[in-house]
Amino acid sequence: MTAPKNDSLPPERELKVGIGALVETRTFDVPDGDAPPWDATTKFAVVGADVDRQDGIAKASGRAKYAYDITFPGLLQAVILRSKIARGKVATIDLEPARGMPGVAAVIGLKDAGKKVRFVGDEIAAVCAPTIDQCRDALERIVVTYEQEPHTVDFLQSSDAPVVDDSGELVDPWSEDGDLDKALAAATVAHTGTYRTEVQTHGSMETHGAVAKWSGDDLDLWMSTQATFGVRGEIAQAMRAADVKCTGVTIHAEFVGGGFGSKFTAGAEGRAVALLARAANAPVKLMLDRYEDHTCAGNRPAALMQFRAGLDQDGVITAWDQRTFGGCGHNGQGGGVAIPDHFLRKAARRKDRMHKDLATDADPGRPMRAPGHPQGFFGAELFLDELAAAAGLDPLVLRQKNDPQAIRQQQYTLGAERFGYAKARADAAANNAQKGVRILRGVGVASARWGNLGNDGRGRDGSGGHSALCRIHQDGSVEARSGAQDIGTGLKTVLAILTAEELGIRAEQVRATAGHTSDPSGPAAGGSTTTPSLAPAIRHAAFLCRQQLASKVADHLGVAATEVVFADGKIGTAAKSLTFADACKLIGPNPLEARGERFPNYKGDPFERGVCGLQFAEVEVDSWTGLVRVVRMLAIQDCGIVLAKKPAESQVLGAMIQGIGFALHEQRIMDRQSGRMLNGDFLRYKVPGAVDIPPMDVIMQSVANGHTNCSAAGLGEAPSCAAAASIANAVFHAASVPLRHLPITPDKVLKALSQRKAK
Amino acid sequence: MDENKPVTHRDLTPKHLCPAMIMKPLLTHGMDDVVHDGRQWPGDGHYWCAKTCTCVGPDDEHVHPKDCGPLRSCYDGPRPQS
Repeated sequence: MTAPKNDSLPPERELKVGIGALVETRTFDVPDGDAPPWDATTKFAVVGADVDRQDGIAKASGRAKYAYDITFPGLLQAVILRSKIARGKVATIDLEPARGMPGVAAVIGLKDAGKKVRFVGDEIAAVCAPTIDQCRDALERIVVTYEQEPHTVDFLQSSDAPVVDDSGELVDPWSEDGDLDKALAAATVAHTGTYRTEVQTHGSMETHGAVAKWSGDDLDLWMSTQATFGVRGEIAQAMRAADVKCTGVTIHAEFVGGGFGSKFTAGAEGRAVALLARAANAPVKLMLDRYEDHTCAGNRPAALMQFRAGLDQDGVITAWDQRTFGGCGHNGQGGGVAIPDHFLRKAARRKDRMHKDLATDADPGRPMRAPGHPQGFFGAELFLDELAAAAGLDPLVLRQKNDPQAIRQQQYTLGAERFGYAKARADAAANNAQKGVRILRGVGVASARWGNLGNDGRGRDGSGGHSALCRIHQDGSVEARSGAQDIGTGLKTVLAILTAEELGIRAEQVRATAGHTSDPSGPAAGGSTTTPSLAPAIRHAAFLCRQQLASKVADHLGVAATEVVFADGKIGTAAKSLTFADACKLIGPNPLEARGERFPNYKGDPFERGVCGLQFAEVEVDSWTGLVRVVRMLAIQDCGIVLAKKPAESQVLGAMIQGIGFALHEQRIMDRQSGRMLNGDFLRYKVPGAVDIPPMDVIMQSVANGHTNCSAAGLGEAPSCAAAASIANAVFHAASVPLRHLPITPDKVLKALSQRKAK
Repeated sequence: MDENKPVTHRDLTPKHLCPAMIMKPLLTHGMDDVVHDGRQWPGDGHYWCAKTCTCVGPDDEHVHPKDCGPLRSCYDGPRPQS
C-alpha cells in the first residue's frame, strides 16, 4: 500500500536521511511548489520494486528501432574514406573520379590538400550511393596522395615518455617534497609499485552513426547519441554555412545501443551524413562498421601509474605519493587518472599533481565510463593489497581502517558476510599451500565511488533548466516524456516508475518516451547525471498532474481535494473513491498536462554527496596455462533512493562485465610499422562472452540523501571503478605475486609465476 | 585563488572560451561540479569543436581550452571589449 500522499502537507523541512542504523534527521530548504520529498521513512509501492524495463520486450523482440534500423524509401548509404597513413599531410586529393561512379549521389571532402593527417582512420572524404558496395567502389576512385611523416603509436616510445625498466617499473627518481618525504621516512611499512593499463575501446553494441533526412532547411537526424540536445546544437553549428538553425534540427534517439562516453559528439560521421543528405537531396544513412568504431570513435586511454605509500603501526596510511601518465591519441589529452583517495584522509600528500598525458599518432580518446577511474582504481587498489600484504594485514581490514565513509563501512561488513569473504580467503590460502597444486584460488575486494547528485540544468542566472512532461488522458493512459536519451541505462523505466508511484498506479500503465528533442530538455547521459537530474522533474510533473486530477475527483465525489489520496489504482478517500480509469473519464477530450520542474538541489547537508560501492571477486588461476577464470562476483552499491531496481542492478552487472573485459581480455593492439589497429573486431578484440561471465550478485542499497524530492544519485560510473580492481586483487591473492599490467593475459600470468618460483 | 575554496570546472574555464568548444560538463550541466585532483583545465581532458565535430578545429589545430580563445582565427565568440 502506498503511503497516503495528499497535497495539504506544508513544505517539509526536516527529513529522515541515511540508511538503516545510520538514519538521522536533517533540515533542508525545500522549494515552494516541489512535490513533498521522499525520505528514509517513505513506503513505496512501485519505487524500488522489481519492475520490468519499459522497453525490455521491444529490445528483446527486435521491435525497438535504433538509428541503425531507420530506413526510408530511396535511402542512400554512405561510407567514409579514411587515411591509411598515421601521420603527415594530404598532398593532393581528387574527388572527381568518384562522382562519375554508378549510383553515386554525392561526394564530399572532409580534408583538403595541405591538411594534417593524424592517425590511420582519419577522415578524408565521404560518398553516398544506393548501396555500400557502390560507395566503396567510388571511394577507391578518389585519388589522395600524402606527405608521410614518421609516427609512433606506443605512448612509451613518445619523446616525453618516462624511463621504464624491464620489469615495468618507473625508474626516474621522485622529486623532493619535504613533508611527504618525512612521512614516508617515518612509516612503519613503506611500499612502491608501478601499474599499467592498455587502451580499451568502448565497444558499444550499436556503432556510431546516423540517418539524415532534410525537409527544406529542416533536418531530422536519427542518431546513436548520448547527448540529444548537445548534438543538435553541434550539428546546427557545423551546418551554419547552410543557414541551418538549432530550431530546424530535430534529433531522434529513442533507442541507443550503448555509448559509454563515446557518443557525446556527433562526430565526423554525424557531420558527414548531414552534408551528404543535403548534397544528395535524399535521406542518407552512415553507420560506422565495427573496425571504424574500434579505431575512429574514441577509447579509454592507456595509463602508467607509480605509487609509493607508508603505513603506521596501526595500519593507517600516513603517506601517499603518485605520478601518472596517460597514453593518449594524437591530441595528447584525456589520459588523467583518478584513485580511491577516500582511503587517504590521514595521509601526507604532494600538493602538485604529477600527471602527464603522452600523445601518439592514434585515434584520440573520449570519455569512457568513469573516465580515469578504472585505470586508477586498478592500480591503487592493487597497490593497497600489496601494502596490506607487506604489513601482514588482511586487505579488507586495511580498507576498514582507512575508510571514513559510514556507508562503505556498512558495506564492508555486509559484503564480507554475504560473500563469505573470510572463509573463501582461508580456503583459497589452504588450497594454494598444497604442494604441486595446479589451480590456484584467490579472493579480492575493491572499492567504488562517484559523486553526482544531479543538477537543475539552469545557468547561473537561473535561465533554462531541465524539465519533464506528464500527460493523463481521458482513456486512462498516461505519458511521461523527456527529450533526453536513454542509452540503455533505464531512463524510460525511471520516468514510468516515478509517474506511477505519484499517481498510485502500476508502472506498466505509463508509457514513457525519451530521446526526441521535440520533448523537454535534459542533460547528456554522462557523469552519472541523467537520472538524478531528471527523476525529480518527472516526479514534479506527475505531482502537478495529480493535483489537477485530484481536483476533478474531489468535485465529483463531493470531498475536499486535500483529502484525496492516490493509491492502489484508486483515487479518493477511505469512504468514497473511483478507480483510476473512472477518474480519468472526468478529464475530457484534452489531456491533463504538466511540465515538471527540476528544482535546484535543496540547500542543506545531504547524507552523502555521492555514492559508495564495494565489489568482491573470486578467481581461479591455472598455473599450467596461465588462464584466469572469474568464479563469482558480488557488488554492493548505493545510488541514493533506488528508483528502478532492475535497471539499477543491470547497470552494476554491466559494469562488472566491462570490468572483467578490462581486467582480463581487452586491449587495443597496434602495429608499430603501419600505425594500424590489428584487432579491430570482436574476434580478436575480446570482450567477455557468456563463458567468461561468472555468477554475479548485486545488492542495491537505498540511501535517502535528502537533496531532491526523490533522493536519486548517479549510478552509471561508480561500479566501473571497482570491477577490474577486485579481480586483479583476487589474482594477486591466488598467485602470491601482483599482476600489475592489465589485461592479465596468460602470458603475463605464466611469466609472473615463473619469476615467483625462481625467487 | 583561495586554496581552501572548492575548485569547479567553471573556475578552470578561460573567460573568453570559444562557444564552439565543447566538453562534457557543458553537456551534463556540470560546470559547477567540484574537481578534486588538481587538474589545470576543466572537464575530463576531452574537448572537441562543434564546427568540425572532432577534436581538431577548422584551422586544423587541436581543440583545447588554453587555445580556443579570441586569438585563434576560427574563434566564434564575441570579441572581448577592451
